[in-house]
Order: sequence, then structure tokens, then C-alpha cells
Amino acid sequence: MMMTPTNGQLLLAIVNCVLCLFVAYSCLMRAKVMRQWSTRWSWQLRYAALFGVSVVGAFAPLTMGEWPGWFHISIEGALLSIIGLGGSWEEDGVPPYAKKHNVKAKA
Amino acid sequence: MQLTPPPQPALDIVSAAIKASAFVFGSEAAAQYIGPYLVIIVASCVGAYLGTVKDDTKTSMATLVNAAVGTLAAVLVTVSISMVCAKYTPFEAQVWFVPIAGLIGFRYKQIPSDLGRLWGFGTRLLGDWLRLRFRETEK
Repeated sequence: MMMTPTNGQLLLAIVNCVLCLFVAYSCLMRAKVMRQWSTRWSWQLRYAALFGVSVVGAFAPLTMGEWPGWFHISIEGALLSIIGLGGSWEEDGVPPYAKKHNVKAKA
Repeated sequence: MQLTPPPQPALDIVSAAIKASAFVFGSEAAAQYIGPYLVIIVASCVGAYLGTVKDDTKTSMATLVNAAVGTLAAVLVTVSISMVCAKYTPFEAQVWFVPIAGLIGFRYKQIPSDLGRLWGFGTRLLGDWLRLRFRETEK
């Protein structure tokens, strides 16, 4: 049973939705560069899971029945700063820790 | 005679957004109708992600458009396809939402050619069976 939310909860839900969609966009940009042939399976799986969780979490009140708080928003900001918003990192190619061993380093 | 003043239009964008999100997030009735489509959207988004990892789309715009078109196609056709599937299988329609939406998001571009290949495979099987069944005997 869903309680009627306060305005603050709704505002936090909007911010959470925007941030989660940014995380999903960043993961999609990762998928554009970190391909199946060049990236380790474990990192493909991690970014796919992060994408799915962020798409689910964008609509957290509907999908999980919980209202996002300040912790969710701050941790999403930290996540965005780690994975690189919108593929600003993509000139570097696949990171060395995620590269398959048979793929040469980018010249 | 007392005239009630007309309601002020809400020009504040934050309060407008809060009202809109109260409709989406807050109402139980909306959740009932949105829920299955939310499942379909999530499944087709993940399918589009995996398709992006697999294929070689060059630009970020192409990636976004692929994901958006796949998700839109999944939202449009998944419910009817899964109802048809539920009619001829022991599973309910909700069971078919995730695999069908995921497939559509994963390879919505290749689905026509996939159907063509399935048709070719089926007709080949049928032709083989007919040839075996009505084979002219030796002599």
C-alpha cells in the first residue's frame, strides 16, 4: 500500500529519476566503446547490471515501492563521477583493467 | 452574487513537475496500468544495451536512437504478441513480457530477416517431410 507522498519525496524522486537516467546513458555510452570482442566478460556483466539497476531505480517508487532519499542521490552523483558522464572518457578506449588479454593497447 | 476567482495557473516549474510526478509515482491506479509497461521498458532497455555491446554502432546518437526505437517498438507490440503466446502455451501473458520485450530490444532490426529465416527453415522441413511421405518408390 502506497502512502500519499509529500512534496519533498516527489522532488527527490524527480532528481533521482534524472540522475538514474544519466547513469543509464553513461552505461550506454560505455557499451558503445567497450565491445564484446575487446572487453572482459566480467566488466560487460557489471555495466549491464548497472544499466539495468539504474533503469529500474529511475522509477523506484513504482518498481521497488520505496522513496529515494538524499543518500540515493549522493551515491548516484558519486557513481556518475566514477563512470564518466556521457562518454567523456571514450577517447581513451577500453580501460586496461577491463581489456581482454588478446586485445592490443590503443596506439 | 459572489464570483469565485478563477484558479491561478501554476507557472512555477518545480510545482508543476511535482504535480506531474505525483500523478506518475503517487497514484495506485496509475501504478496498476503503468506497471506492466514498466517491466516491458526495463526489459527492452536491457536488451538494447546488450545489442549495443554486441553490434558496432558508431556514434552515440545512433546508440540512443537504437535504444529508443527498440523500446518504443517493444512497448507497442509486446502486449499483443505475449497475449497470442499465452493463448497457445500454458503460461500467462505476463510471463512472456520480459523475454519478448528483451528480444525486441536486442535485435529489432534483424527480426524481419529472422522471420524470413524461420519461414525458410519451416518450409524446408515441410518439403523434406512431403518428399519423404510421397516419395516415388524405386521401380
